[in-house]
Amino acid sequence: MTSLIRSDRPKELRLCRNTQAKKADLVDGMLDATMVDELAVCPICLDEITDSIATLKPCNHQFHKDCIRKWHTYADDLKCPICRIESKHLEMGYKLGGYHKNIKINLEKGFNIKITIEQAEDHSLPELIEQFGSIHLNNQSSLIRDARCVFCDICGQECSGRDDQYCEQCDSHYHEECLRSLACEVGDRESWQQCIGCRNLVIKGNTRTDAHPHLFDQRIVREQALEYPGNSAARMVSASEEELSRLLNVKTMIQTHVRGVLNEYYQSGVDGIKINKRHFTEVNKTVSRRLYRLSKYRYQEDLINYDTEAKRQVHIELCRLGYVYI
Amino acid sequence: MGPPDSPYAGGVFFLSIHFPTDYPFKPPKIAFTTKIYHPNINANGNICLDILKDQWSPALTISKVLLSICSLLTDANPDDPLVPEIAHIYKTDRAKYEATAREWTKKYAV
Repeated sequence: MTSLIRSDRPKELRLCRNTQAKKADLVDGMLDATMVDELAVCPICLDEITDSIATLKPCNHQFHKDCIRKWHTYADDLKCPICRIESKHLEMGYKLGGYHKNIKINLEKGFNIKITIEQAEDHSLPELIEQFGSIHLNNQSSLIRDARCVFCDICGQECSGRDDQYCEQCDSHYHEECLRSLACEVGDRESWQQCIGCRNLVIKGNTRTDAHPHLFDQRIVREQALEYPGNSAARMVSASEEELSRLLNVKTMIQTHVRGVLNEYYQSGVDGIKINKRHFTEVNKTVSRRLYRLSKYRYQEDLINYDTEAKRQVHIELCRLGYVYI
Repeated sequence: MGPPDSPYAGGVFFLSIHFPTDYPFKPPKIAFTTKIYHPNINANGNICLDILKDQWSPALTISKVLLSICSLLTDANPDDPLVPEIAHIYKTDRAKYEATAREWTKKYAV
């Protein structure tokens, strides 16, 4: 009986027990109790892991998915917080069940894009060329091209169908299928329509455009972005420098709108709110980046009303910072 | 408490720990409030320690960080100093460094 249960378990789980718990010689019942005990706490937030477990590969250290993904947004590399081994991907699994091989988050892809975008935002073109040389720039341009597409936050694959889900709050994109399978995995089929990041309800792209008119714009932008004929690698390589300067131009133009809105708050005040220089910079950065992402790294004046959108986003950010409108 | 095998033995050192709002994704800001003579700790109490800066990991706990600070007191790192003068004395005249550190401990931390 004991051996039957053992052989039914997925290979990865047993492997993980052997390496992590190192108690493979114990009887099954005891092993289960020990393992649950050892795995119960996320090393980042120190809270109990109650639903799904995210396992970093290849080191097998385990966290809440949200915690480790949030860390990746802060970190400069993909090293494991515990052992500092460079991680390749993240595997999602339910605490007592087997690992779902189909929910595997490719960390490198998204991370490289994040670093590239940050570099493009923080440096001017000549600086970038000096720093990386043209070989690296070629590589960057293909990453920038990737970034223009939209990736599912769970699987890291491109979103392209009309069934894709979108979280308005944190700008996350999901495949409907990924959300559903993750919800099944954690045993809560009702909550599949919630964003993994902020638990906000996700919206199906085209169906609720009346309630969210600005979303409609985004859908058009997104569809256009996907149709962008950037698939010829050779053309992209030769156009890499143009690409980067175009990208920086877009950034400058978007920032002009955001700065315009923020200047009113900074100089004369709006509705009783006057902001300081630090908040000006902070909000400018956040909102510009968001708009930059929303417009898929292209300046689309005919599709997006940047002034209105900037006002809306600045309002949201200021409320988040604790400002109260009179 | 100053580690027993260091010139800070017998001293009680107070630290201030400030947790940023996005802790544990950002490191805590830790500084000595008790004056201390050490090549990696300056007059304002700021500590030069890699895990409090770029080597921070969200899996580090305050007790682990305090342990690292304790071991920094036992084994200073004069090659990456915050106070070059003390580091210079540490490297050239170890006895003088230990005497001054002991004196400061007696004066400010007992």
